[in-house]
Amino acid sequence: METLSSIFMGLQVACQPLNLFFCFVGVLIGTLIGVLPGIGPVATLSILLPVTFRVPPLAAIIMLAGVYYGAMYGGSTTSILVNIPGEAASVVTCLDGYQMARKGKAGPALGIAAFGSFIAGTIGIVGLMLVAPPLSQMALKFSPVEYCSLVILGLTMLVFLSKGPMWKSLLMAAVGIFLGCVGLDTMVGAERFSFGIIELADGLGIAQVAMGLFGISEVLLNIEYSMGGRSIFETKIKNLLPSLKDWADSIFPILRGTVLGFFLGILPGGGAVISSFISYAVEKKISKHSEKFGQGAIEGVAGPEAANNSASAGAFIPLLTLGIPSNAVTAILLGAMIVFGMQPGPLLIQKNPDLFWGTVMSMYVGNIMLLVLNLPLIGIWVKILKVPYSILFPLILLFCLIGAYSINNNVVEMVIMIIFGVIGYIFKKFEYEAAPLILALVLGPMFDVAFRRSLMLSSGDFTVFFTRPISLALLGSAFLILVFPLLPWFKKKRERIEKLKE
Amino acid sequence: MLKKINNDQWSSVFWLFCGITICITSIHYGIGTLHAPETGFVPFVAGLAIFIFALIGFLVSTLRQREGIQWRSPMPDGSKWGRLLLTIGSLFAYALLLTPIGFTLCTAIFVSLLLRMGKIYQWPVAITGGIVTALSTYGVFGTLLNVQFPKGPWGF
Repeated sequence: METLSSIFMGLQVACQPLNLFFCFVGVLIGTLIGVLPGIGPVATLSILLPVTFRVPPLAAIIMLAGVYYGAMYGGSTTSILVNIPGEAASVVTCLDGYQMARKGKAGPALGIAAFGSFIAGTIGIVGLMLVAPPLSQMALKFSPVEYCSLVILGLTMLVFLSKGPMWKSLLMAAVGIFLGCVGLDTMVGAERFSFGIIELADGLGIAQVAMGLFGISEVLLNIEYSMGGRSIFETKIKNLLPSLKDWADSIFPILRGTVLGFFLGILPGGGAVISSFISYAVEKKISKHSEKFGQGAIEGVAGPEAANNSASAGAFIPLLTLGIPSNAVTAILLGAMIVFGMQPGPLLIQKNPDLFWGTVMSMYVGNIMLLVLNLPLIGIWVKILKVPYSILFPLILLFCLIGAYSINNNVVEMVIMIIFGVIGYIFKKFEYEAAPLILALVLGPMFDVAFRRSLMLSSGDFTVFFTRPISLALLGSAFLILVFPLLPWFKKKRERIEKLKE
Repeated sequence: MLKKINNDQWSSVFWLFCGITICITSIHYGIGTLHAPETGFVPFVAGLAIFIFALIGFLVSTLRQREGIQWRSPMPDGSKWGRLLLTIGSLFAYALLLTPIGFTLCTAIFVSLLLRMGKIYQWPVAITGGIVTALSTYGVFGTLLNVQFPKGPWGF
């Protein structure tokens, strides 16, 4: 009963005109950046973050969340029509979506992607409503010891799921923890590693670093090559509403993808990208006609698209209940919440019920908006796709520069962002992933305080991390994650997923 | 000899130095004891972790070098070096010139330059694009969102 009244309260908050407007703006921008290759949700959230400082906090969070799940919807359009994924979670949709388009079935492919995303997003939100409150109750019992172990588990999980050698991802996480320590030490009030630069006294801003590592570096990488327009597969998009046979083929992949994506989204380090790949692998494995996968099987579009959308709903659970972001996008959302003076974590539901339930219900409203946006506006998205990169990249760079400047009206913030842009570019060249760094950067200050407090409370006794049951379970899981890749069976499976990604 | 050293070996050597530097600087801030960790404690642990992972990376990449993995140029053939350097230079120049010459002029020059860079658009088109972008972004961010942009000596 209490949950029901909270849902109604959330719906009331979400349906306030201002929140509706920002929800619409969020999902519209999300769809747009999902459509446009070369700029993903992480970069967009980073760019928009400073702009939202001038908007009421709840509306800002609703908008930023809308960008995240909106991008998951939009990404499928480019995958199906151009064979270029708008963002990483839609990579796998290219395999069968584009083949469907080539066979004149672009309409049903786009339609099932949109409907599958809607169903998954909706079920994901229901899951979020059911799981979040009890989890936050449990998290109230967490001491610094458990928080410290949880951060270690989150980082280990992300490292495990990152591309390339594990030592590189672990190294990036360690660099992120170090960068998170730059600035004022809140426990003793001493400054560290700021070298007299006033702008560093408050620490490195998440927005500047993320805009540099994800936005600027991506542009630098793209402009190395040709900047002409994209060739779009010319086909008439008709019959957006899937036929009964399409529905019969797709409904179970959608449901399986939803469940898979939701649970993978909850796991720290999991998320939309990995869940879409695993969903594709599962559908191919259990299909009676697996040979059709890669040739235009609708299940290969329905499953992954559902998985990446429900994963984006699942990713909000650790963020809103534990204050632990599970991927780079939710890390930036956490940064936004902290800037707005909210502390995501177990007390969020009690202290800011309007924020929690308002955000959750706005996601439901946003899903309906996305369905309405995606189907009739596909023609417009296709036209936008034709905008050449030579026009797009100056605008992306300019928005990054304005975004960095507007945080504190300070040029130094801009320079910090540009430096991280160049660093991010070099990282990409030497095949280092930035996602573990950004997650560790956000979690760094929390880890710093929790780790030191744990040691102080236990008088320097490290066994405290292993004698408390929740902490032991979290660290045990982290240990298993590190050991798993050494098992031959698991190694083989991982190599297969890597191969699929390539 | 140097060409035989592969990319991961170079990068891990860089990180080894970073790890050592962070550890030394953290000791300077004070790392305390396990009973009472001080302000440099966690950065020291992070620096140590960077050093250890870089060492693992160096050993792994050395083994791979023996298997024949050598240096691969991060800039493959056909990469546009000039375009890249010009863009990075433009970004720094924008940051340096924003306060002295003001947002509108600085943005118009920056966007025009980048639009012209790909040699797809002629100068008149690029300059018009730059001016339109500068004015419209000022309208959205400066007027609507009230971002306080620097004005420069000519008042815009």
